[in-house]
Amino acid sequence: MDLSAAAVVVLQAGAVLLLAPLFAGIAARWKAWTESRTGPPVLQPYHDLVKYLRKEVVLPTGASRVFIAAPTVAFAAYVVISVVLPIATPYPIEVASLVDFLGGALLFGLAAVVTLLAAIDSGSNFPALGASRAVSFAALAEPTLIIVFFGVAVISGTNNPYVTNNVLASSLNAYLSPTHLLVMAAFFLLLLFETGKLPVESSGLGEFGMLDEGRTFEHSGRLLGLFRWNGWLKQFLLYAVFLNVFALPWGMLSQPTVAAAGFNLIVLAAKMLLLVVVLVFLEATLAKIRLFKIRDYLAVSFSLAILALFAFAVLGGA
Amino acid sequence: MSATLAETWFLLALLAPVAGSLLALHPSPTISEAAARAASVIAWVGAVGLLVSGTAQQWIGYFGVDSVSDLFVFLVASIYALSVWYSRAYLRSVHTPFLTPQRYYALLAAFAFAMILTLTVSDLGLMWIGVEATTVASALLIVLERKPTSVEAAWRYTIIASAGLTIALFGLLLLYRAAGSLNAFALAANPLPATLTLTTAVALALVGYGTKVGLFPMHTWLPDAHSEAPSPVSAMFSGVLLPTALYAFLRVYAVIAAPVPFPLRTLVVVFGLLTAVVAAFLLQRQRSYKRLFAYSSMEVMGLAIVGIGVGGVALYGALLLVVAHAFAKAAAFYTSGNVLRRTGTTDIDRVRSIRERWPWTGGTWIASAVAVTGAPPFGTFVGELLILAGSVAMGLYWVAGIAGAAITLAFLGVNIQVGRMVFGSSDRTYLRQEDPARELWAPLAGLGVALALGLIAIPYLAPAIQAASRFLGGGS
Amino acid sequence: MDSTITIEALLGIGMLLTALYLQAESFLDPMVRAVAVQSLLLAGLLLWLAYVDRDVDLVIVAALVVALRVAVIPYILQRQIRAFHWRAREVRAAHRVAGHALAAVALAIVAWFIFQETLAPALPDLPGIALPFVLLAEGLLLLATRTNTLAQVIGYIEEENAVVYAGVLFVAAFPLLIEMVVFLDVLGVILVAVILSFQRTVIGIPEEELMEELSG
Repeated sequence: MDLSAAAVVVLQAGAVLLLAPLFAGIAARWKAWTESRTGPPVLQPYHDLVKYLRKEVVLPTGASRVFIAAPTVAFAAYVVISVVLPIATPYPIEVASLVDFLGGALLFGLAAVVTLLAAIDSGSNFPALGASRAVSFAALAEPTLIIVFFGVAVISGTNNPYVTNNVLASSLNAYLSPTHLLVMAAFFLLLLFETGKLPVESSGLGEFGMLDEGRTFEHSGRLLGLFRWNGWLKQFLLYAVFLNVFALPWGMLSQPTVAAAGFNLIVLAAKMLLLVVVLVFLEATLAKIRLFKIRDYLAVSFSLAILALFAFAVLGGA
Repeated sequence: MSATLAETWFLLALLAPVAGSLLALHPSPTISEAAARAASVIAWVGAVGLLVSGTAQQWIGYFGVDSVSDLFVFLVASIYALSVWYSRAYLRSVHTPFLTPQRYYALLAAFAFAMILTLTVSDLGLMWIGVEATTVASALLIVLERKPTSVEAAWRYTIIASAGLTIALFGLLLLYRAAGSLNAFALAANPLPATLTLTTAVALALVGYGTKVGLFPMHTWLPDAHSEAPSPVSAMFSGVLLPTALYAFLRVYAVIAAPVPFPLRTLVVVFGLLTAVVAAFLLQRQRSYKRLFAYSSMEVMGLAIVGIGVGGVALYGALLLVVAHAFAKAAAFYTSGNVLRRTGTTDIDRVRSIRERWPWTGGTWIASAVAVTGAPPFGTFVGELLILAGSVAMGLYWVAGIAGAAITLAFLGVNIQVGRMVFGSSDRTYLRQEDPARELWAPLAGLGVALALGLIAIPYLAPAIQAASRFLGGGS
Repeated sequence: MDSTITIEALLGIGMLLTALYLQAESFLDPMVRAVAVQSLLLAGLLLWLAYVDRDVDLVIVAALVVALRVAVIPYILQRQIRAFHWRAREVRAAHRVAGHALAAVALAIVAWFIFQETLAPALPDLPGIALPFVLLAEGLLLLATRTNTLAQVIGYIEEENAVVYAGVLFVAAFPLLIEMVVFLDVLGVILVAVILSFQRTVIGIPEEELMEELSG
């Protein structure tokens, strides 16, 4: 591994870790605008993070090591993911051969599972309720995710996100193929679900419809801080996959230099701002669907994913 | 010279209903009725001319007839004429402002025209359009009385029939792709070897047209439409509409060259048998006598399809069965109309002692019930026997066995129920009531033709049975 | 893959998507709009093929489809819906979105397999050649699963669309296509008109009473 490649890896990981809270802050601020509020400062997530990391940790009675280790394990999973996805480079980054698309999905799964285990381990009702809800819907979301990956695989013939990126960026026909458009739509619906956006869930104080945040109710101090950070990382990574692999695969420089990687990150940031605008718009215009309707929502996402494969078969590889 | 004459017959049969349909809209009920009656007679004359002259030729454009269509045109024109002439009694008894003689006669003529059109076009696509057109005209006839039940029945009928016919159209698309032409006569003259496309196309046509023929499980519209339509229209439904759809299927079926592939043939036979058996069971538990006769028609159509699938003598039997059944079933529905008018109910359990009250009506009713279920010496008997004999002659014992069971079951079911209504007594005693001849001639005419067909056809029975017995002898 | 196929594929899959939407949708008003969109996509496909094949007949077919299936029939249907508010909602399917959507997808796959086994060998190896067949199956499913009469009309229009689609895809120029379109649509209008003028009489009659006479 030469120095420049190593620098790119470090740059990418650092950018993901540091920028993730920023976009959460921007989204919160812009969302507040749509509600005629001033909203928290853009840098609020960083302040929160620092505050959490400084605070004392309180453990529930009977909590085991799982409770304590979970945030760290999940964080590690996200860090690994952040150096294997096409975030700063359109060519496979130095350590990209660690995992493929499916491996990425497994790492996301690992993070979700340890979070669940921690919630159950807390021995408290509310996180357990959040965990059971999250699981009952994740059971429907997971197959969709797998099929989305199949869809990606049939588009590019591999399940390497970099190849997919290149295929889509270089061929307008591939980009406009029904398979790709349907996979993209299915993944977008999944994205809203996974990152806890309307119309699936609205988080806030005293909100019983929340799925994600209910699970971490018993955590405090730096454990909670890590969980928060995990949430932002997950969101950032999913956005990055959606943007750089599916929706907007263009505009990345392929020179293996740190400068090119930096440029690519700026491009990604611009794309992400666009996505945030779209999401804020969606949040402002959609009403939350009832809890039991989430099943229907996920069924639609699943149908779209299946249909993507179906379109591939019916159109004979189109 | 003879060509000109044939053309004249053809044009009479085809265009008289059109003229009748238009003229029947005349504001005066008397003129309307007279026009409808005249048109039906002229169409009938044309049909008889076609049949007697044995016209088999094609005309410019998309028209053409051969002996099969001659026969079916004759059938349609005959039942149409009977129904028109018989409708006066029905119209007199109905007092719905929406149902005027003008509308009724115009739609009846349009219905007949759609059927004759179906039977005289040579292009399979136009034939499909003709079958669809029969749906439109006949659905409107059902709906004329504007009762909630008749609206519902017409709705079910239209939606199921058109959905089914769409499948037939899909089959035609494939047929055109495989054959490169839709001309029924050209295709029948040079049948194509059975490729997969062609087989699939014919199978789709079987399902599609089968919906209109009343094949199980697409038959659900049939009893509703029959029971809700006016009796003269029910007669046309059973007697000629179902055969017209059968004819359309026959034309598609004829496209495949002689050794029809085994799966397709089995499919046709099984569809037919299934229909016959299901109908035979369903008619056992009917409470309305019009529905009873509707299921009986379904059973007969099932047998006819079996005959087509088996082929040979059985095909001949199927045609004879369809023709004789049309007249007999028309007689049954005309009599049912009389009974309905006089008793005011279609409920089998509430109709008793018909013989005490109207001996002639009771007589025609039981006679037509016996005739439609294939009792000797009616033509239906000969037809059914030929189908059975044909199946045996082909070595298809199981077909003959199942069909025979269905025939027996249907015979018992229909006749026991009609017998209860005609001979069964209730706690009341009835006086003999007026039984006017103007309400009796039509059933009698239908029965007469069915009987005559049987007597004419019986000589043909012997060779067929000989053939079957030869096969049996040779097989053992 | 050239752009011709992409456009055809997109329009075809678009029609299939509207078909799936129709299965999952519970309310009639959006259903009417969806079927109009489907007809519009079909017209777009016809125009595109007319352009590619330089076939004027297809332009006429497209114009007929737009006039009747995008404009007239949806207009009549929507007037109907407004006339009977109680019928604007298809109550039965309202809570079964997931089931209906998945059933529709499953049916599409089954129809495709059937198509592959029976028809595919005989038809040209075009991308999306199975779609008309799948669309036909979806239309039949809609007809079979809905009790609401207007929803059934919508299912019927979907079937018609499938037939026209098949007509242009299976055989390059089906000789009777224009006649078929006209006839099918006239039938569609009559269907709607029949409900329009007669179903008022059915209101207020309990369904059991209807079933009583039409049973067996």
